[in-house]
Amino acid sequence: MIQDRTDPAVTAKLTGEAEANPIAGVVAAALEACAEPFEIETTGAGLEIVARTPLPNGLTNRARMKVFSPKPGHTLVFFFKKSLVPYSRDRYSYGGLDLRTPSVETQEIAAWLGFLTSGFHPDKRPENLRRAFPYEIPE
Amino acid sequence: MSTEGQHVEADVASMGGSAPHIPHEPLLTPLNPCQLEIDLFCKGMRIDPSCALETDARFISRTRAGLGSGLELVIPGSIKDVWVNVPVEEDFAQQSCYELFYDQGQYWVKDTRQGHVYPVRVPPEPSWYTRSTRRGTPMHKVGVLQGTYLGIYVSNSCGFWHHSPAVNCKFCATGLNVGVNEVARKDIDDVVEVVRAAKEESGATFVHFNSGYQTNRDLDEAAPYVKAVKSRVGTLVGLQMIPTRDFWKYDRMIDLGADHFSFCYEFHNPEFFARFLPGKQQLVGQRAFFEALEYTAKKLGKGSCSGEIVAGVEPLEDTLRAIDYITGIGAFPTVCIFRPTIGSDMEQWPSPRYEDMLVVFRHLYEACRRNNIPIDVTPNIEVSLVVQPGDTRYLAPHNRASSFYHAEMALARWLARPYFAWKMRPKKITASDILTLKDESVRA
Repeated sequence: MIQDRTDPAVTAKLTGEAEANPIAGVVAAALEACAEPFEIETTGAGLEIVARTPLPNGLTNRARMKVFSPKPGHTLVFFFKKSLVPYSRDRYSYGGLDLRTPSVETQEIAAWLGFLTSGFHPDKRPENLRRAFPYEIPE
Repeated sequence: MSTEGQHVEADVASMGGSAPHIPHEPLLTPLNPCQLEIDLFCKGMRIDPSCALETDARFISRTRAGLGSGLELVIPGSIKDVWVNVPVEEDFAQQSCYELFYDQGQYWVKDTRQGHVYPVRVPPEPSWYTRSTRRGTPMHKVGVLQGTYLGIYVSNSCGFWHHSPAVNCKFCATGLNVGVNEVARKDIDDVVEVVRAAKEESGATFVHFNSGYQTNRDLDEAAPYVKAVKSRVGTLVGLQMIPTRDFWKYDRMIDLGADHFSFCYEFHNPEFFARFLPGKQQLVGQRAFFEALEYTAKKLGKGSCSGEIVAGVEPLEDTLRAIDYITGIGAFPTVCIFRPTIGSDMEQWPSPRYEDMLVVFRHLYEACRRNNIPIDVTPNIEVSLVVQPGDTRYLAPHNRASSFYHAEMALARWLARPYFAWKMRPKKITASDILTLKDESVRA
């Protein structure tokens, strides 16, 4: 579920991203259907999803996923954590996916969301995850 | 020598401040600088918004297997100042009892359990970090200070990450950083320029070259850098590479000016070595680390080489055995407290217990003393990523043997000054820095 779904800024962001990139639209629908809680970042490029499922050890889940399209027909899915340091804009990469197809299977998206809700547990890494992900990722 | 419980007051006074008042539970004994260093490695630290680290601190870099992902701090002390790279980005740091804050014109670390407050220094970013080399490469992408020495990753691609499936060391995050923090392959002129800047502007005396697995060409790759630095700048040079059984390559590196070799075999227990270091197990073997360490330690003399291990994963007795082995062959132990580095396969592992690590480092001190390993003799080499043998002087028992050892080391430090001054002058190097031609199996 998307916890902040009723926020007008979230609604606008979801609509805009789905119009710009069909894969972002499919991901948004999967989030809505998922039992686990997520939030949407309303600023920045692409569709940025924040996992809100607490970790088993009680720590805050810091897992984030950004779905964005550098050019039509090309989608990048980037898994990362934000820095804990107040001044820092660093993002810690957990790899990503380079998609060259206009659509994606629902079970693939379910694997991405499972990776997110686990707090990026190594056992939950999606198939085809590229751990070294040398792309320019917009903020 | 200082004793436990006196450091907070003594160190605050030496920094010209007074500890801010923080309400707390009844005071237990505060930690001495080495104890605090160990506890910070184990627990990490939170950062209060009062800190202006964006202007005051060095940037946080994920170099060195991700271990450099912490914040550099200096804990002042009466025996020596202790450098520590404190975990601040890993999940476990979120719940740390330690918090860095800024008050009365300086930084402090607060232990929120008992309210102890420790003065610390945040080393500033070197001015050369923001400059570029003549070729236009940002200098901080060539090398970074880790403590007071300059760390240069010769090549940030590690062959273990490129196997299918990957056979990377499970605690390592190097493969995630390719092309992010550093230039992939360093230009020799860039390296010389950065080493010169670090020496002249930051007082660096030691350059440590390391690399990931390079298919037995590690030393071949490093040789031109060693020669260039020794002949054109003149600093102490260390090499941390995957070991080779071609021992003549070590001889050549010594001819080129290498002063130190370190071998990261990480775990003494063969089962842990195999389980957590699949690449080292399958492509190198633990024995190769021992053989190379023994060869170079014998060649360069007592205290010049090091065996590097990780404490907090394998059983404690194996770590103690490792320390005994390393010191027994005349090398010094570089013991890294396991950090469940952000992004690594072992990220979900718990950080080690402080009490266990205290046992390790007390043992380390005793092993160094028993084997008369020189500690803190080389000038101005403070390593922030590990608890250095010299730091463990704070853990020494108050007895005659310790006093004698410390006096001996102080004398060695004094006597070695002219030697190191000579070592740090540029030298004419005649040895060839071409070890083998690529794909050539015979010696060049």
